[in-house]
Amino acid sequence: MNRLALRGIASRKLRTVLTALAIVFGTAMVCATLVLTSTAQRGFESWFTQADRGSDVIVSGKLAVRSADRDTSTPAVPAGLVGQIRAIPGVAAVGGEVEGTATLIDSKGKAIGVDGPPKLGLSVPTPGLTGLRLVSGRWPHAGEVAIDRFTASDQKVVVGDSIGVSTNHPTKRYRIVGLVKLAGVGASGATISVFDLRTAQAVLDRPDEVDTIRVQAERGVSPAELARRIDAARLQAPVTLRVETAKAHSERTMHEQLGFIDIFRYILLAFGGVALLVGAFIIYNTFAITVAQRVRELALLRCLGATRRQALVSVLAEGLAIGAVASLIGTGAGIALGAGLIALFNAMGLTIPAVPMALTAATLVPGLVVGIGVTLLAALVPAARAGRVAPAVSLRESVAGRSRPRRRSLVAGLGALALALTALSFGTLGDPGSIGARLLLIALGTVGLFGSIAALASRLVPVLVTVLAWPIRRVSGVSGSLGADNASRLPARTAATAAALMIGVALASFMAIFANVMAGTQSQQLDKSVRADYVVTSTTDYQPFDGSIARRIAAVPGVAVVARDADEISRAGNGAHVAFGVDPATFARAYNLDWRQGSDATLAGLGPKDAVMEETIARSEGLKVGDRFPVETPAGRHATLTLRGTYRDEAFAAGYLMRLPEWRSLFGKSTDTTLLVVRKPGASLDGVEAAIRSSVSGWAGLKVQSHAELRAYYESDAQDVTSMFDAMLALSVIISIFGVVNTLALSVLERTREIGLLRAVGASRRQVRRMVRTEGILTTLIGATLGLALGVFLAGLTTAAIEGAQFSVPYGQLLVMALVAYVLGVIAAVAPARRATKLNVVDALAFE
Amino acid sequence: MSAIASIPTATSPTSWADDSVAIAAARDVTRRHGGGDAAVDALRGVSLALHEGDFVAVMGPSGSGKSTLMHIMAGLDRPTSGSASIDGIALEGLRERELTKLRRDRVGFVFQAYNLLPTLSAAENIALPLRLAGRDVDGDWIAELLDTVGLADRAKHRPSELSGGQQQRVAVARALATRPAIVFADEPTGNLDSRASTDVLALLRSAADDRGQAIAMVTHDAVAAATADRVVFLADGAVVADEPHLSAGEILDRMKELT
Repeated sequence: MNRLALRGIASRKLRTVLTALAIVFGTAMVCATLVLTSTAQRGFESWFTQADRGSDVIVSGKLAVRSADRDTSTPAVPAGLVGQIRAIPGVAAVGGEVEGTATLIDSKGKAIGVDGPPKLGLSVPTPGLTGLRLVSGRWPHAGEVAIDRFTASDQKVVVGDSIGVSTNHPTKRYRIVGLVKLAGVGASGATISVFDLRTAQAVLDRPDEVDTIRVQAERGVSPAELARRIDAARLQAPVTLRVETAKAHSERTMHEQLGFIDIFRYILLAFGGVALLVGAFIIYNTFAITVAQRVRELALLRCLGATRRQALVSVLAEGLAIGAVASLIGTGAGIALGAGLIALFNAMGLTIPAVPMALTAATLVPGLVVGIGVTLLAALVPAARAGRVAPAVSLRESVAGRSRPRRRSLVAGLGALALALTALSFGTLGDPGSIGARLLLIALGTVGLFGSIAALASRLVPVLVTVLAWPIRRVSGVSGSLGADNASRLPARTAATAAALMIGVALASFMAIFANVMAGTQSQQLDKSVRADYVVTSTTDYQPFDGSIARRIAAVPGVAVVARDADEISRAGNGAHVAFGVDPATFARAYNLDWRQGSDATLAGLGPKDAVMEETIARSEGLKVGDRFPVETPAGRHATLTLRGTYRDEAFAAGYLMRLPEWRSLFGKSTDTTLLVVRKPGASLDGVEAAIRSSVSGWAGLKVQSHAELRAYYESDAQDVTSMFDAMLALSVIISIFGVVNTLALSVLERTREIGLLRAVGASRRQVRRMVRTEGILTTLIGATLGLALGVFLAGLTTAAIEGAQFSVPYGQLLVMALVAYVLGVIAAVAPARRATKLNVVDALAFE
Repeated sequence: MSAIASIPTATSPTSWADDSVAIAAARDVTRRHGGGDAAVDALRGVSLALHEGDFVAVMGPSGSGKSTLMHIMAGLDRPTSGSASIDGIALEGLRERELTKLRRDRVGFVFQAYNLLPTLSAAENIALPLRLAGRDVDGDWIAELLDTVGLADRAKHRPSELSGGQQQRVAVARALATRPAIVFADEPTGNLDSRASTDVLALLRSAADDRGQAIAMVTHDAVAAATADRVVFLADGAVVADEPHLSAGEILDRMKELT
């Protein structure tokens, strides 16, 4: 019997290949995702471990406050500590290093590197204490720089050339004397510039300070023991010190500084899950069709004396054989796809440090298990059906997939839908307690929603076909009508095929709508709040810049007001909130606060120990006007402020405002984060902008944006996010398109005789082609329609969950998606239609 | 397109060898399947002509080439050598598209397995060739056809709701819908009981008698063949006998002689 199953595979090559293709793609996607995430993980890991290679213990300043939303640099420590540590018994070598942000500037004056990966400015490392190696030239002295060799080759600069470096200070040119590289790590998208310690301290504003002290233990002293001894030495510093082993340090910094890796991994796993879901749909569907087509053969076997069990086993054996072979091929394809994805991510600027691909059991086995498992699972239902086939069926004409939807499945589908909707609503609008519970509810709800809609879709298909096919029937006449009839002939099959596409379209349209909502909400907020004509910020988010910039801009003719804002994360009350230091006299002229309690006069009259706070934050902290609340800075300094008023602004001023002079002394910084510039009445908008730009042209890391430019920036930012997600969703769409090809090809095969008849009674090849194409288009359009509806629903739900967000739909983008679905239907139909038109009429008519 | 009225209703006693006025003709047709040692000669030089109102039964044992001959005469298959024509138009000179057009305008088909489209109703199945040809579908004409085949009350039924005999009658109506000059019927009664067979044969007979349509019918059934004006016997790809007006008994005798 099992031999029969295997012979069954051999005798139906095309069907087998098509089924296998679905498994290959599903497995490949899972495998590729795992390879990509593991490789990325390994890449980042090796970056951080290599940075600490050779060190045993790391001493650095400890942040008193941290927030995942905002990168805050660790406070620097006095350089004198290096000498003190050297004196501790068991220390073999010690080095203090400066580590900050320095942007390399190309010959055209533009910043080098992409947003995201760090732009590191370092001091020359102590030999043997890091994995940063000199690959050519020498380490720099004053006025010189060493840069990483990947940036050097990208920029086509060599040792001996000069390059601009921009920090908080104006861009200055340095001579390149060496090229460096982190051992074992390839190109990463990060740029590195290395200066001698004194230069680094000067350009990165660390007077007599270092950021990291690397310590190597003497032979026989364990890192943990050395850390204990350094701890015991009770070193004195103005900030809290953190003494930890290098291993602990690299793990911690990786998690802290690259919190986005986790998010990135979750996102990718979510995409893997989507791919798997889509793949499972296709595998199930294709397999169900092939089994349905074999019902007659199975019934014949039953006639000849095969038991029910034998029929079941023969189908399962076929599933296992196909699943195993296809999953193996899929894994191979997944490795290639993973390499492609890594290249894609790099091309999009989300650069992963180049390391060998992570081809391990952990990345390869799950895909195999999933591929075989899903195939077997998908074979189970049809196999059970095969077992139930009555022998008499073999005598009947055709029974392919003729199953009427049952009442029970409707009830189950509606029940699952209700459950999914409940989970989703509670997850978004309710209060499930923790973020984790919220995400879990949303994820389960979404999967449940997709599953139940897919299950219910078979009932929607006839209606959808009627509606969607209406224009097709008008335009393409009888062949279009026949195609439409075919599409609604086996609603369950059409539904399952369309459901695979539905998932991709739902997620893509959700992203598009949501990004549109966010961009709309932000630009609305921008119009409402920002009175300034221009906004000056750093090109890197939240990166503060030199305080002298404000004075330069204030001196530009045509500038009326420069409102300064210095901000930093802090602990206020119980949570981490941003402290904005502003000048009460000028701020209200450049920025409009939506007051809840108080007014611009409250701000103007703000005392040295006063603050006004965003209303929702004040509420969550349980603070009322007149209350006092404690503040702690990242460097560990404390103050107590009195709440004088509240305003509503979750977009730009989510935190609390205090007077700038007090902010400066509390946070110990003379830098600004944002400058809001108002021009004089009658001054030219463009003219003043140009003048501001030229006044700060020496600072390549600065960005001057007019109100309109800022608006456009938010919109394009939203667009970028959408494009990135679209690129990844494109993969699941491709998989689902193969599903459509499969279904169409199998349908054509199944209807060989009908097609033969149509040709015999006078259908031209073109008419047959159009018939198949119509079926393809309708299938993809059904997927797109359901997907768009779900996308709108999910985006609406999410928007409702975000306070102040205005729901708006980017109709143009959604229309494009529908058009893409149409085109995909046409493309998917090409090969099956070709097969249909190439059929020999006589053979087709004799086809069993 | 010629209306029924314009087609002479009487069978004209023209020579069977006269291809020039034949509705469908095969001349010295050979058909070889495959090549080399495995080559099989399905037809070895067959000539046959059908004229208006001719009802010809083609008989012969399995593998005698009768279906192949029909396929070639209907333009569904191409001969290895020799020629076939419909309405005096040589089929070998036609391109795929022209052949399709000729087929849909001049030829009707009835198959053993009915071959109705399961998604279409009886009336829609009958109208299908007209719709494929892009012609306007005359509701009265479809109703008339349904009435002719005795299924006026089954117009909206799907094939799955019809019996085998009813399905085959729909298939005959479909074959007649375009008012073809010739109908090729490939074992039309092969799946039917004797009563349903009689109905279908009567329909074909009246198409020949009343409408002057030529009928070429492949069959194994001597009773069915006896309905025809003329029976052509094939064996091993060649015509071995061609006789008019045989009774079922005579046909059975001939068949025995041939095997």
